[in-house]
Amino acid sequence: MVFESELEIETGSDGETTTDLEYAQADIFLTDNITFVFGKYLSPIGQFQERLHPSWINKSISMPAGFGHDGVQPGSDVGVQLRGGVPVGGMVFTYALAAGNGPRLGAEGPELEGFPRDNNSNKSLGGRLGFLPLPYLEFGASYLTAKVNTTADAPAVHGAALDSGASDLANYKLWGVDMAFTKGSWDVRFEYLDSKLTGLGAGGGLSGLSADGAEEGLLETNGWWKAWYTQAAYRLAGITDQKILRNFELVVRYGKFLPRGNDELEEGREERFNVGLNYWFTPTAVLKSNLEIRNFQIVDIPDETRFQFQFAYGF
Amino acid sequence: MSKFSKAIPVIAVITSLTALAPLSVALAKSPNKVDPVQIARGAKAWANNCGRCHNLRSPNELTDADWDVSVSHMRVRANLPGNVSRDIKAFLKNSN
Repeated sequence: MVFESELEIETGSDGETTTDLEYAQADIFLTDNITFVFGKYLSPIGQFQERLHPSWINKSISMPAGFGHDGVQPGSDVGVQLRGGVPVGGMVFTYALAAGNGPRLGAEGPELEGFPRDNNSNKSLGGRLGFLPLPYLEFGASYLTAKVNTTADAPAVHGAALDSGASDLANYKLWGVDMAFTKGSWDVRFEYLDSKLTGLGAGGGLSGLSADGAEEGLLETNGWWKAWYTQAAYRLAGITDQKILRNFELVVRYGKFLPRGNDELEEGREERFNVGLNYWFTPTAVLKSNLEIRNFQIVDIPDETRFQFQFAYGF
Repeated sequence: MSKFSKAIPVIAVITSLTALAPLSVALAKSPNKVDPVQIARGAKAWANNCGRCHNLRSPNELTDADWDVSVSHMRVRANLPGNVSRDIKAFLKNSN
């Protein structure tokens, strides 16, 4: 059995420090191919959140557009998992099946951030299946389904008929695919996530129950969110043995975040381009430099171009 | 008999014990019998799996106890079959 946890300590642009429990989970190895997990865990959807988000692993500095907080990518959940890997010949099949408290509705859509309490007695179900036909090639498919309370912390009244005809429980479904090629000096990845929230009704609002929801600023329309990115990284050790040059790594990433639903949601539509040069002092210590171009697809929002630098160290 | 000559047996015992100490420590730390076939499997599994998300880490980076914890964590993260993670542990602990 293993108990593992991660604390995130972050200083914001206003100088305020916040501390969050990223995850705290117990892992029980039932067999060679089945591990039982319980607690607060990083979402097993896709690859980025669970495996690639730590700063010493993320080849770029920021998250891909639509990944990370306030994006399509689920963050974490509180519940249980069964997961493991099954070798078949020279190939490996992996799985992670999760049931948790599920998402809650926020101002910009469902938020899956490891809520300790389930506010609607409906569990989120989902996970990821992976396939490695070769050691350096991986394909994955993810799925998540959940019901979301449409008012803040109001207990769900199943079957209640409301003026708008909308239910107090909206439907949330997410699917995704991912791919990774990691051979030699190359690291090439692709990830696509697509989620829909339905059942809120086009008119929005839930008369009779909407007061709390409106005051809380919850999303009141159906929504559709898509996010994808593709990334290629190349370590110069592939073309030179010179002891300094070989530690440089070139990174290029391009992706899009495409929310749809109302004008406010659609302000978040962007395409993001990153090009970077990393220097690895050790396998876990890296100095990253990055040029990031964010093109917001709503005309009124100015595009952003920024240079970023980061030093990251992994324990 | 001088005080020095009386001290000789004591000095001899202390010196012997000091000389034997590294040997006794080495015997106590003797690892379980090393299986070269498992080590070879572990080396291959380490190369195939441990660079899929992050850079390959040198076996010298961590102690045996640290590798026990680290590989167990990675077994969950990377969904490694149990036998593969045991092979990787054996390789890393034999190579550090």
